[in-house]
Amino acid sequence: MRSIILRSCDGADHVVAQEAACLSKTVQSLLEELEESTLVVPLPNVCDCTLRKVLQYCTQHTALQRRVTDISDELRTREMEAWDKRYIMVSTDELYHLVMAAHYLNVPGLLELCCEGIANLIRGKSPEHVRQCFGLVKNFEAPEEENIRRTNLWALVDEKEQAKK
Amino acid sequence: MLAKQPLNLLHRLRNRQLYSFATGTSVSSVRRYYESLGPQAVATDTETFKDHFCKFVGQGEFLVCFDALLHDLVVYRCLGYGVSLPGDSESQAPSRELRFDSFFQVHYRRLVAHGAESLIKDFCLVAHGEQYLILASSTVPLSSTDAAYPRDSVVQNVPVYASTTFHLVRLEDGTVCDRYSISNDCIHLSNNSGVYLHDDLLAILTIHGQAVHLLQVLPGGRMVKVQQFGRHCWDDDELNLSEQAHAEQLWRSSQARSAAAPEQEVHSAAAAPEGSALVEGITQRILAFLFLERYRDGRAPSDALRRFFYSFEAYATLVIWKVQFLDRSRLLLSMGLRNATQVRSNSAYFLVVYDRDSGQVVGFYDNKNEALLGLYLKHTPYFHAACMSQPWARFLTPCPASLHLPDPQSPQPWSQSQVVRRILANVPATAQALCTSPFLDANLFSYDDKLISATLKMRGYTEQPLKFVSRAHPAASRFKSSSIPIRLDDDCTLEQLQSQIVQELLKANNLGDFTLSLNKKEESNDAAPPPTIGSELQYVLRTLPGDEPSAMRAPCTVKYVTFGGSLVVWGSTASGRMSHISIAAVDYIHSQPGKSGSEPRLSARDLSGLYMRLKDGFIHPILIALCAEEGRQPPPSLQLLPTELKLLCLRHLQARDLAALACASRDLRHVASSEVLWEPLLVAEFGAPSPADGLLPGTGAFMHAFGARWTERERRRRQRRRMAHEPRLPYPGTGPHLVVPHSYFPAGAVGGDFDRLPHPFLGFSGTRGSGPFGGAGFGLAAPRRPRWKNLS
Repeated sequence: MRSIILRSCDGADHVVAQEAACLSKTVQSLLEELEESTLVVPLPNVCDCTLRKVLQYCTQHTALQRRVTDISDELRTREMEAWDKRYIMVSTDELYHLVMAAHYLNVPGLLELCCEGIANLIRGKSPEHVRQCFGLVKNFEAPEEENIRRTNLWALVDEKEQAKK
Repeated sequence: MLAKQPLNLLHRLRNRQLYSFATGTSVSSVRRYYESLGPQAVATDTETFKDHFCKFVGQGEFLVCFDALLHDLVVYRCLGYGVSLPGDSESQAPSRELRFDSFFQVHYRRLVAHGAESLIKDFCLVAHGEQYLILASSTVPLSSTDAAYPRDSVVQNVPVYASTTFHLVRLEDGTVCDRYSISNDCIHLSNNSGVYLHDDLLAILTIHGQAVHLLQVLPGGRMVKVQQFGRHCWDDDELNLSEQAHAEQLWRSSQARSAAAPEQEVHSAAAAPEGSALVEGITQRILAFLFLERYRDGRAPSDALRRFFYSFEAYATLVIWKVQFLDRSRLLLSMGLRNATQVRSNSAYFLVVYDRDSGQVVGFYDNKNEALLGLYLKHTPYFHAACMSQPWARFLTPCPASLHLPDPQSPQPWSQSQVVRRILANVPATAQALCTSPFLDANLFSYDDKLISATLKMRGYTEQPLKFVSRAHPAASRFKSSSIPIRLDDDCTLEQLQSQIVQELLKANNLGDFTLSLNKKEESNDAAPPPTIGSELQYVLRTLPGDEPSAMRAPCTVKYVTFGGSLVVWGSTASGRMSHISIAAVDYIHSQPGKSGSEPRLSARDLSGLYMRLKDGFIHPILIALCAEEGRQPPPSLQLLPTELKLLCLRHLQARDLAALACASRDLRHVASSEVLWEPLLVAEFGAPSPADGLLPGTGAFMHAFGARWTERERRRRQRRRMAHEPRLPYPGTGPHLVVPHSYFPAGAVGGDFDRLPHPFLGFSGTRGSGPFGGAGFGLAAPRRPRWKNLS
């Protein structure tokens, strides 16, 4: 298996197996475009620590994919899910960088995973809570807000009940 | 502590004599005595002290110094010092001029070193209960071309002094009572290292001669040579050996004369007088000891012996480097290689226990030996008993407390053998090396470090903070414990979680440039938080390099309290924005049933989870609020994502969350009301919309339609539920003992499998038994329907 070098925007090199790197569609197409002999792929949009985290995902998933023989499909899926769950336990800003990187590098599985992680942050929160968590400003005008609240009143029942208490 | 004790110093001293702990239990009573002495004045710009400071005798009655030329002994007597205890307002010490003379008076000045000799600066022993001083003087080292230079020395790179003299001086009046000289040899005199005093026995180790001179200091003021061993173990060894050598030589010469001897024998006869073939003295005793030990070892004597003979040469060339008394007859010698200038803890050397009465070696260990380490740790006072001048001072252990901590310079923790070597480097001990005088306690007095050598300084008990790094996430969770030792590997209590981890996590939280730092001003006020409402800390955003220093700093207050088994942390900014998080103790702290004290424990594997939760649930909102108040750009988060990615993320959400999100802000409303998200939800929940509904893309109509249908469905459900709960007439024939599980079951039927009957039959029976409204039971059947569906 050939190894290639991925260079992040701050100049750090990461040596990784080609198979793992090609989980990223961007890297794959770059490799196809560049000549056969090229080993270094510059990735100007990804910083060092994020790239490391992405590559962690890629290597783990290729390793699990390759272990076809010794475990059943179901077991492998379960194992991968468990690993993913641990992997995505990062803080909000790391998650932000990770989702940007996954989008740029076009790693479908990772992108999906990150989106799920972000969705988990939003899930079950009231609008007020969401604003607080993501630093949003309530920039509605009064009639506008009344309108949207009335439309979505059905979803805000919990909040109403809390307010009553 | 002070409040309970009398303030009068005499009372305190008497109480200490009468009621202090039994000897050996603790050193704290001794320390407590002079820890309560407080300096009452500060002297600055004192005149330079011309003499060489040597040591305080005892508790500081006499100060022993040498004059600048190192010929005279100068002894000062301390004139006493005023004592003021903290809170003792009445003791007004007489004000005195802050000069050296006003505290120390010259007691006497005596010429001790004669001729070419000069006194050794840092050699001074106190003998016979502080009656006598033992001082040493020596000449300058000989050059190797000198005639007196010993040619046959086994040790090469050690200087040779023409003469070294030990002086016994009576402390009271400075009379030189006795002298003892050793010529053409080297004795390690600095810091008393080559000489050992045990009661009245003085052992002097000469390096070139490889001999230990034993002197006895008599109470009358004389030094008597008791014994010398090294090359020879008994006094008559030399006689026997010379007799033997003489006889040998006679025999050889007669052999050579009587017959035409083979050439090689003549050759060996010529070589014999060089005397290198014979192994004598201590070396011979060691080899004999080792041989016998290996020989008696029954399992594989030949193998052990082979190894012994293999390293025979190494054993035979060992050199004594240091000596210590263990008791009056046993000595501990450290023996190392010839080319070392001294024994170092990181190199290999051997420790030999020699019994001078029987002239035998009784123990031989290398400096990695764990058996010896066990002995040392168990009997530390025994190993150090004789090296102190005061009896209580032996409880001051020279073994530093931080031995098991890794070297801060090297990232690797010490290996087992390194730790063993470090500890065993304390033996052989140095006589009277530990200073017991309170004057040199750095906690009490400050003094010029250059005047007083480092070995004389009182060793304090240093408490180093321990650092904890989670093994799984080295970067994420890292905190120090200042005083409470927590072992993160298995445990910590809820209180420690509260006070330490949360604080440290708050401090360690680093969102790029956004870091909370503890407000310094508030930190000092925080010393005594009210115990009932938990602790309160103030944080501000860390100042960035580009910020104006005068910019308004918005503080936030973080409080935490343990409350009903959970830790509640809440923070509020100046403008009243709040964020709070509640951490249930059961999630992170587990009681360990196996352990006797069933204290709650925090397990380290949860720490990163806790960290994440604190960061996302608590610190992030607080940071954003603070940024908003200071008018800074908030840290990157969801709203900076491009719309396509936002949509990807929101695809994972349920309708209710989406709807709530749409109410949060204007830009989120645009994203969250997109028909891309709502159409699949609508189809899944209510089926495909007909074209007659007129849902147009791009208007948020799907969201509205979903909301309207949901509301309608809810309304219907509520209505049905209300109907189901309306009172009905009782069934005919139901007794009090009969349980009717559902309204549509046949009256009186209990048990059996009637409820597994297919649906049509149920409908029939329902009409029969279910009261005046007939079909009322069907409303309630809704939750059970899947079961019927399966059967039919």
